[in-house]
Amino acid sequence: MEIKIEHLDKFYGKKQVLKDLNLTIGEGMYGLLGTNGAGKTTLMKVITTLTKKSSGEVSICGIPVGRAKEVRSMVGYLPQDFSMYGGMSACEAMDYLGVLSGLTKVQRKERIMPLLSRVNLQEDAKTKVRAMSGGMRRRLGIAQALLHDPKVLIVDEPTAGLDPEERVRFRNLLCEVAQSRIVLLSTHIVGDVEATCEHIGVLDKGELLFNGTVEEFLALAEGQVYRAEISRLELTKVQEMYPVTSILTTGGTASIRFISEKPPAFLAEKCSAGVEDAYLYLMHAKRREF
Amino acid sequence: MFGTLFLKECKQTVKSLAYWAYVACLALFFVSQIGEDWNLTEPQPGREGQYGYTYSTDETLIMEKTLRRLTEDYAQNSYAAYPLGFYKRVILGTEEKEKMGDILAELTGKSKEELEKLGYDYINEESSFYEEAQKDGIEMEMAAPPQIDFGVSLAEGVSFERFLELMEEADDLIGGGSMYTPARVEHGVEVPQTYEGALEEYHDIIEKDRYSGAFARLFCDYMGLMAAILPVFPVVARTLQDKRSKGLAAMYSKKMSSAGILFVRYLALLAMTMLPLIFLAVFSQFQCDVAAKAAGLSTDSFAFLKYVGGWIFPAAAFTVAVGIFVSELTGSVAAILAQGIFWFASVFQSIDTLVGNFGLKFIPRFNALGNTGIFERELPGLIANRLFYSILSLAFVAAAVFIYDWKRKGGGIRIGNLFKNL
Repeated sequence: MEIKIEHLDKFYGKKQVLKDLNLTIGEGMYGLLGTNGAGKTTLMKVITTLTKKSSGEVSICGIPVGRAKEVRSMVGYLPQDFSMYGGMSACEAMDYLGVLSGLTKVQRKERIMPLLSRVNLQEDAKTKVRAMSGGMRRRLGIAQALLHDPKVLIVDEPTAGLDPEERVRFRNLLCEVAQSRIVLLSTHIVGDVEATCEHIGVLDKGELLFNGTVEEFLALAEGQVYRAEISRLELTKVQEMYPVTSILTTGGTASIRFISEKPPAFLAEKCSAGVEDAYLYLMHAKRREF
Repeated sequence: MFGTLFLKECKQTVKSLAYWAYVACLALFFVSQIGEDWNLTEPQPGREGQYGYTYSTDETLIMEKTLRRLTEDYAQNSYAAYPLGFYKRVILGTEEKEKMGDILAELTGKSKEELEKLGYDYINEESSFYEEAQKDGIEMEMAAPPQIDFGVSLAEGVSFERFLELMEEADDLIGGGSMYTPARVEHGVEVPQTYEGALEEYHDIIEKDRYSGAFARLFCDYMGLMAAILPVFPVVARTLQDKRSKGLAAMYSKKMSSAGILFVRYLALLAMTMLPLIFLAVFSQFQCDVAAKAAGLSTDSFAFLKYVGGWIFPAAAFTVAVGIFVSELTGSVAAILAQGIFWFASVFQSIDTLVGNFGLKFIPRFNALGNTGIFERELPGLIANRLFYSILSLAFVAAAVFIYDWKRKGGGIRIGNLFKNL
């Protein structure tokens, strides 16, 4: 069970949005990080057969994406900003999408309520989609994506716009459903990946900058992350010199966390790298290349 | 699976406000145009001029009446034409007028000088007519144009075939789509009905149409007008629901084929569009049955359903198909505009022949209670017409499926940009 991508290129007109992408994604959660416009959504759409590739090969569990019907029966997709007909209740929306997924009446009956319960929407089964909050819609989106019990679940920016509590709940939900299937999570929120994924890919301007495990990713920035307490007045100057990953100001003092390949000129303490540090290190290193 | 989706699509349609507006418009039109008179009375002798009109295909009569009309148009140098279905007033230039004079000269045997005089006579007559009208205190705009008899008649030896050839030439000079196209001319001319004719018509209605058939035709004539435009509103509303819902990507990612999704949606919209029409047809049939029973006559209990199925159904099928196609193509309400223009053009196209002469007109008219003989004569034409639009509907649905599938695979439709602000 894997998603295999070989030499994938995608052009929109003359603009190349995916550049010779090679990637294999196995069972478990895979986090795809990247800035807005990095090509994450395009990659997701190619995998879900919603966009045609320009060249290269993409297959899901050995089935090329050209065989759309077969691929669609294996893939569950939660698009960015998911919603459904406002006049439908959660239950009706699930039933409608279940029919489009080719499920029988019995299968729909067996699966809809347990899935709604799993995403904590059992009390809102009769609530109209138009009356749902962003978080509820996103949970409904996950439920509909799992309705036909797909081998692959693809979720695009699922936590954007959610409040912290909803975000944590959603991450936990994703971890739960990742058992015995591939979950591809696309996001620009590093915390989502850090909290849920075993494997990480970093996409920037259509190119895959990194592909590996979380440990390998952290190792990129290991020994180059520092913590220091500086005067607030020095903050601007330090920010110009180093990529700063976090700032906490108290009175006239600022506690900062930053990345530096060499020991800094001021008093600073080395600390272990997090995913956010590694991500910023990678992006910073990439920018310096150009 | 398709059956379940069909029912769900029907439910979605019923939930839309546009659908209920459609039902209300149909009901309003039915009440205002068709009314409650389902009675048929046997014509009584001695009421000449009160038996209505019929169409005559008598060649001599056709030639005489058409010639009279052409002479009048020639004298005024003003011709009505419907080139794209819309009315257009055509004024001929010197050369074309000369050629039209040649045609009239051959038809009437009059010299060009005599024909030239017709124009002057018309202007003089018209001036004195309006002067008289003014004296009587009638404003010029309010006065009906003068009916002038030029006293022309068909020259001896002009055959009907030659007459039609000359009419084709006249139509070409006008630019096509005029009242002189051979098809229009051959269709017949309107003449007052006689008592004998009216009686024969009455018996035809009782025997051939079995009472309700004639009323069903009239029902289709009126309701067909609405079925040719109104369904586009709920169709556009339903299609645009997808776009507004932000659920398209999730729906696109599901297993069901594009053909399956769109064809089921088409059938559901068509069924929901036809439902109120069928209801009105059944209601009318009932009214007809009651009226016939009171007169001691029997009816064809399925006449309305048969006529609605054969006549109105293809119109609704076509309108729904065009609605889906244009909405999928543009992602906007442009379908209403497109169908609106086509509907107006079709209404104008049929305006000069309200009884028969169906051709490929999208809105075939038969605005007469009776005239069973004419209808029987033209029925094959109507069947061909309706089959044509049924096949065209399927072609539009197939094209819509193609576009849906194209969009589903990430294809862009640039034309949509033109209409996105509509």
